[in-house]
Amino acid sequence: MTLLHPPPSRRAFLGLGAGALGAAALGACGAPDLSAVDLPEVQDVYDGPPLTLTFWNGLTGGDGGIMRDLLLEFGQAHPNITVQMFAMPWSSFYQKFPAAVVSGLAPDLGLMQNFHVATNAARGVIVSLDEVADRIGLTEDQFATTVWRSGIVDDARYSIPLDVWPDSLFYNKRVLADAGLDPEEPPRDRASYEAALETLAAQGIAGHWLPAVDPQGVGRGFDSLQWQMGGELYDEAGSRALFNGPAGVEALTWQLDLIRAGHSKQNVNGGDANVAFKNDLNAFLWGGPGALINDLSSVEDLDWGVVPLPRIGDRPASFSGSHQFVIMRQRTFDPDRLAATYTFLSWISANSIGWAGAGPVPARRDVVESAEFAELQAQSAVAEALPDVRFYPLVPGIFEVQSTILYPAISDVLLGHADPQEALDEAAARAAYLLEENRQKYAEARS
Amino acid sequence: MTTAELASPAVRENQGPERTTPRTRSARHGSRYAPYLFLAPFMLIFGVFVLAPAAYGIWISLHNWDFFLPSRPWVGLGNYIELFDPTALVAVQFWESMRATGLFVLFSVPFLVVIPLGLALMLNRTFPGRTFFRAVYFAPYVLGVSVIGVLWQYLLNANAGLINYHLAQLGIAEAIPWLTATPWVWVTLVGVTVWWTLGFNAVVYLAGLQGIDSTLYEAARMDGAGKRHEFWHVTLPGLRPVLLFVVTITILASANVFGQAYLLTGGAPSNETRTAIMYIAQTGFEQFRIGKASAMSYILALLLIGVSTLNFLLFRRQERN
Repeated sequence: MTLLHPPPSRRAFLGLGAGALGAAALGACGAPDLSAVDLPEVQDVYDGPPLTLTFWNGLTGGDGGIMRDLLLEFGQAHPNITVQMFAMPWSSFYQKFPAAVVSGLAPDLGLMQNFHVATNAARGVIVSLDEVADRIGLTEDQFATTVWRSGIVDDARYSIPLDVWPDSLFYNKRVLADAGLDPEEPPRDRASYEAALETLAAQGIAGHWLPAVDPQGVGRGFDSLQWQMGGELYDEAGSRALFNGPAGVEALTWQLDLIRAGHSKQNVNGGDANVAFKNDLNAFLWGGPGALINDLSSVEDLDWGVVPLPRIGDRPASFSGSHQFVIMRQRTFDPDRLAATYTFLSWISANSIGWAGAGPVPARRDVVESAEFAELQAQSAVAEALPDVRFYPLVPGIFEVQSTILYPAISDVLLGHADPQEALDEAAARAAYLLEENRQKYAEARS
Repeated sequence: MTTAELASPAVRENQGPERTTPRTRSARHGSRYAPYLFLAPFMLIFGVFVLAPAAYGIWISLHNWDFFLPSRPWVGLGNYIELFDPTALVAVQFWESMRATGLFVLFSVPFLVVIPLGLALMLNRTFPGRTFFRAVYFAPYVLGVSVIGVLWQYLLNANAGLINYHLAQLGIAEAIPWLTATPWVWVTLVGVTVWWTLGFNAVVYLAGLQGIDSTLYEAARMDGAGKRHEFWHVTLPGLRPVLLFVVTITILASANVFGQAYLLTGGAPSNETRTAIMYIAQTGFEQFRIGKASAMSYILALLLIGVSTLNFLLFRRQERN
């Protein structure tokens, strides 16, 4: 049929569409502003009218409840400040908060794992806190040195450490006792650790279930071991991977041998080791106190203890992370909110003993040395490792390299699909590529 | 439409002057903009959430783009060229993930096309409890991918899972690494996906089967055709348009596999099951290397457009024959 009024021609229609799309595209491509921010001068303690601060973090487990209790306590001490907390899984947190900052919807403050601080500092989504630390009266001598320094990127402080969570050795006392081992004296060095595993093996028990696949980070045990054996993950500038050196290969071979000797089941998933431990099928569990102390305490009738990681290499070392407070970049800083934020940071640092209930060791030395902390048996045992904790280097983008390159390679070896030296060499070559790309990207961002 | 067409020449001659009055216009042909007005609500949403982002994606893919960094240098086709440079890490990982997606399509599509067809043929018969079984086979499809991910993770866990536990009771002592070793990971991913989505394809087939004229079957029977002949010469030709739809949709859905692999295997072992969408999401939304991720998306999209076109052409040629 013929139309009396022909519709707009195909070309006109497409032209219209293309024009609209072009306009939409141009409208959407504003680049974020990352110029340096000067925080306004504000009073040290906020005493103005009531206001509400927003606080984002990844505390979705039992630790979230303890943080909320602390916030209530803070609200009682400072009735004019309400801190509203939003918890989401860490991976979502690191995706969402930079977007919130860029779109001008940033929360006032956040809590972050230390190995993400350098990345976000380079991205300019958190602000330098050098003066803030001074103002709220925090100094290096109040903290364990490594922990205090882990908040400093390129000579500027970006975060205030709240706690530290070194990987530790959790041991199942009943399994040890049943095998004829002393349940109060867990092995602390290589010889006694291997001897204990042999004794357990004689009873038909795989004593150290070693996760070969674990979204939470299968490689933290490897990190600790290679540090113990004198290795380093990266060079100081973070431009080259060193984990394929002799220490790394030795560490990974030691882990692989545990599996080959039957001290660990094969194809262990992250959660399996934990389930086996809780069911008295596994004697030793390496992991962080933040998750495990509460988790294991919640199991009735489980008899367990914790000590720092055994010394398998020639020096003690434990992988550790640390939760650290950061202040998000705002389009404009409201002096009142900033003053309230300082008030909160100062209060929670001084009252971080309450946080120790969640499992981690508080970063403040005076808190760790307090009598109240000494009463927390498990946390005190974990705190023995504080002088020997090791962090990832403070290089922007380092977590990507660990989680997308090194850990899959380790997983590969522990699953029995690759040889330690070859897998680590290949990972190092791949890491070099990503490290270089990151270096260029973040150098451009800062210039 | 037919009456309007038949009437139109007369209308044009006799009622020409009146044709601009609103009543006749809308009754016969409508305003020339009417179709677009009716399309507008959809086009608006489609334009804002699909077309505009897709066009913007091309622009992004030509830059070294990071959402949150102020400098976004123009690299032209650099991102695309890098994806074809065999020495670049990103290219190695991208094609590794494309291989995973390709394997998944290869393994899953035949099952997802054939099994639901058999199921639909059975459910198309009359027997007591037919509606119940139709519901049963469709049921898993209503579950979200997160639900089936968590569910099967528990069931298939190598050391603490229910399936290996029962296999052990049956005398299979060796724990099967369902989620951590080839070829078991593929058995898992394909098996779970088939279980999960076969209901959808079965329902589509069922609708197609009910659209086949029953007189054709009668005629075939008169000519002495057996069940097998009925299937090959009546059912299948009758289902051709439905089959084209099912094959196309299934290939596209399988090529977009993400949730199952993400939740069940996490890409293990050795990124063997890290699919293209998973890698693109990781690059773009975890590492914020959005320029590269956009370039990868375009390559994947072009490939899928190619495969779908090929699919259409093949079916059309068959039809001509």
